[in-house]
Amino acid sequence: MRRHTKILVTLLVLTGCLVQLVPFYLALTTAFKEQSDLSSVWAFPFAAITWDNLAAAIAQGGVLRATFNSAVVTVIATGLTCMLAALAAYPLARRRTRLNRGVEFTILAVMMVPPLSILVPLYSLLNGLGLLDTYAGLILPLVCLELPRAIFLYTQFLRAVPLSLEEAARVDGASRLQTLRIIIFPLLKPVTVTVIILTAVYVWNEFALSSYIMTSTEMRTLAPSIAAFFGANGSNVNAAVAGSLIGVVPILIAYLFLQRYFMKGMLAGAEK
Amino acid sequence: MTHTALRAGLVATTAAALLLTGCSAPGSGQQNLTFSLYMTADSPARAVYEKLIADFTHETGVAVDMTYDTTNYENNIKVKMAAGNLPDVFATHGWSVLRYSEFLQPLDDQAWTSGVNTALNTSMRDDQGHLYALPVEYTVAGIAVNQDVVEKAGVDATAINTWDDFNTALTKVAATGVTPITASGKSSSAGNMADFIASNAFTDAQRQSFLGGTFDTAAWSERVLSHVQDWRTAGFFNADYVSASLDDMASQLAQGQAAFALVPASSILATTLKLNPSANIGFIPIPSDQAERFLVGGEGIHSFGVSKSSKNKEAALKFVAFLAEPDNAAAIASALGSYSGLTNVKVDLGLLQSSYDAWVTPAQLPTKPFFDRVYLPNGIWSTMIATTDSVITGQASPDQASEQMKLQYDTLFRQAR
Amino acid sequence: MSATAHPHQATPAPRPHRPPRPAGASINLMYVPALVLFAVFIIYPVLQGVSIAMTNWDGYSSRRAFVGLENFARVFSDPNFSTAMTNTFIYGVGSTVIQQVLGLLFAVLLDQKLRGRQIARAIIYLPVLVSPVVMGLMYYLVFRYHQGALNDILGVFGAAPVSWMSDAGVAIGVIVVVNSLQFMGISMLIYLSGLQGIPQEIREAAALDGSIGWNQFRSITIPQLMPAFASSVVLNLIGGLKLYDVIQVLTGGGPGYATNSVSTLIGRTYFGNQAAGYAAAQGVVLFLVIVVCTVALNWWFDRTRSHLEN
Repeated sequence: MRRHTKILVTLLVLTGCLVQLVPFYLALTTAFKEQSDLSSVWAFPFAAITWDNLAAAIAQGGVLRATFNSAVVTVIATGLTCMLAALAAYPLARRRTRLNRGVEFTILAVMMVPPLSILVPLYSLLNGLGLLDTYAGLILPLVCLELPRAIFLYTQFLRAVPLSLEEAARVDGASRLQTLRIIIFPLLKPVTVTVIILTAVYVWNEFALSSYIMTSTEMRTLAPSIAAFFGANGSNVNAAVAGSLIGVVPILIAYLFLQRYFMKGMLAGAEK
Repeated sequence: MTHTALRAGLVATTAAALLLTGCSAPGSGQQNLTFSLYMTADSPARAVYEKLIADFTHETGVAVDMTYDTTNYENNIKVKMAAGNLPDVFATHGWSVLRYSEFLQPLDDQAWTSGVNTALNTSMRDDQGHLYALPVEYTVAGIAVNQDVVEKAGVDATAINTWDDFNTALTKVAATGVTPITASGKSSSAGNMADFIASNAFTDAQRQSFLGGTFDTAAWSERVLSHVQDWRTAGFFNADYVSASLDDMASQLAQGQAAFALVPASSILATTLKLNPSANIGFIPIPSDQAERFLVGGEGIHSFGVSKSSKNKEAALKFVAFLAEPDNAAAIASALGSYSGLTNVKVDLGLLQSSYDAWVTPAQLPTKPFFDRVYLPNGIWSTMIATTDSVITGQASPDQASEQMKLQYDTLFRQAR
Repeated sequence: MSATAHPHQATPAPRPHRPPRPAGASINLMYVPALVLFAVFIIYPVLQGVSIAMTNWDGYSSRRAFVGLENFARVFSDPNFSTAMTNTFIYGVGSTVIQQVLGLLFAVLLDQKLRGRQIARAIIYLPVLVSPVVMGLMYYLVFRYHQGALNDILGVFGAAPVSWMSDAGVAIGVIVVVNSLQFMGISMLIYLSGLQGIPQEIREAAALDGSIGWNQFRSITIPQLMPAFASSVVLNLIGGLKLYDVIQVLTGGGPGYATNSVSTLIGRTYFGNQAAGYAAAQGVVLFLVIVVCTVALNWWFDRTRSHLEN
């Protein structure tokens, strides 16, 4: 890279990073300010830092318990999504029959259903099954809403895997199941990381369905527990922001861990 | 090997999923009372409810599961109604008769009903006189005002009798550089505004027409929305109306950046206290065109009904009666800073005490029910907010907004039959 | 682990040849679990939703009468619905375009050898990790009137504060930008994986015959990125057309009905107006519109791809 190109690139990257970081900075200043502090949102309250908002988020908002609930739901829902999607994608990628094109289209169509329009029938169904206010009652619908995108990504990925790899294995006498297990599934690692990141983030932050399905205070997940600070007769934006920041930490750590793995997997492929 | 780890993870999650699904079979035996109400996570009332519940459990051995919800509360209850899954006891937030009575146990035989303020009869009893909820909170309201601001503008707010007086006052306030009326596009304040004006705007014949299935667009436009339009053209509203929340209104009033707000003062009290505990906030009666001042009032958010299909009805009724005990009801109302719907309950109303003393306690002024709850079909509230909002923001003329109201009114009226 | 077996990218350029003999139908069993879940938790509720759309149900009571297609007729004569539909397209197409431009830009920039590029990638991606509700809340701190970050800056220069969300056009723009900034990280990752999948030999070959810079980008990189482009556009467009949370937090659909998307309008109609039947009809129409758009888009991509291959 020539020098002035490099400077330009660096400048652009820095601008992008700055734009993305500003809202988080504002959230930080807000989270550490008294509600009655009317100083500029840009000013970090070095002199009058308060832990009240974090305390309120934890004690009154129950954000830690909610983080645990979100973690349970996210881990299981993400695991199930990866497993079911990887399985479903294989025949869709390898057997392009008319039936399977139809199935693929149906799955894409599921992705387009506006969640609000199924809320009431879904709620009644879960009520009938005794699944309201349970982990399973939230996990299963969320898996359904996330599966189409995961299947889409896996299918796209699998189509790119040369068939010759499988055929070689078959020639060597491996059964189809063995081929899947030994050749195909290990290949899916990079796309699995992508699916994990996308699915986990969505499930972790899900609000619309969670707020109806998880009705009791103990079962509440993160987003609804933060929303509980917004009311008709006054809101506590500071505590809500503090709660949001607590909620970002676990998913951020998970992401940073996965990102390294993700890039490594991709680079290993690219260097060959 | 990393993929081995991944696979192990998948196996573990599946096992966990199966386990959880197995565990989640409906529990048997224990019959906790379910209790849902509208409350924010940091509401001062929460600790009071928790203590009362502990006392109740200690007294009767019945455990109570309390769930609170905020902006989603109403939708959540609707979804539960649709599924036949209502909590045993829940907050009826102003709608015990019009929306919920079909699902509620009539409470007339309860001993505490003798203490219910008779001013609530129009709004809380149905055609047959049945009562469906315990009004721990009685919303009685006028126009919220920052007394310091209006005094500085040379206005005697207590002498405002007609809308013309009010407009003169607004002009004087505007001259001092302060926003005359604060309202917020992100709360229901536009609906409150229309409700406040409409509650004493019509002749008997017009009211009967609204009640009977004919929406009088001309009357709605001339008697209600024209006032809003006048305020808009005069530039009396806060500049940040669209993006403002109820908290912004409270903050503007508390800091003396605005003079009046057409919402119940109790609804902005909590935020005001947080920002400026010594703010000189109160409320004045609502003026009208015919110089008859009035207050509006009705069932408050913290009013509790018992689900008709409750499997725990006995205990539920006992719990409601427990909340109605004067000391308990007073504790809740004090935490909320709200007037109580029970006459035998004494509440410390704090900042608003002098306003209640001046206007409510003497019982000289008429208290009109919230207009929409009595004369318009259930379900029009959100349209009332949106149409009034469209006048405030200049998206629609009063006539166009009234037409929109009529459309929704007609649909709801047909639906109800 | 056999590294040779590694595919080069998520969606590489050369399309694999059709299998000479299709795998047995028995492998179709592998998608049955997913289909069963869909049938129970999505398709069954959707069908119930369609039947609600033909009633005048209020969403909670026992009163419910069949009204045929009346609600669907109403959808097409309702000015609030047409506003919402127009906005939905602006949100969908607007955010898709911005996300492709920014996503590709940052993918290309962060594909260069720069110090700290891992950190930069993480920062660009950071907003994806928070919920749209929280993202909206943070941008509310930026755009609010009193003590808004933007108005505070204006104040430093002596300018009067601006009520950013009062003008429907500005508010719609803000919503599009906030949504794009939040999710451009996903596009960036998809393009990055596409870029890193372009074999080094091709890039080097291009550099040897002198087509560097913009020419290389246009003749080598862009065609190679087509599959990544297709995935990214489809995912972003569907997300944009279903936009809900950010609108809810930033404007609540106001002023009036001016910034509603169909999704927020459905919420208002269902719960606010207590017109569950009509809301369900709006949902069905939105669904059909998204399906048609996606099918058209896919068809276009397939055509473009076969053009490129020939």
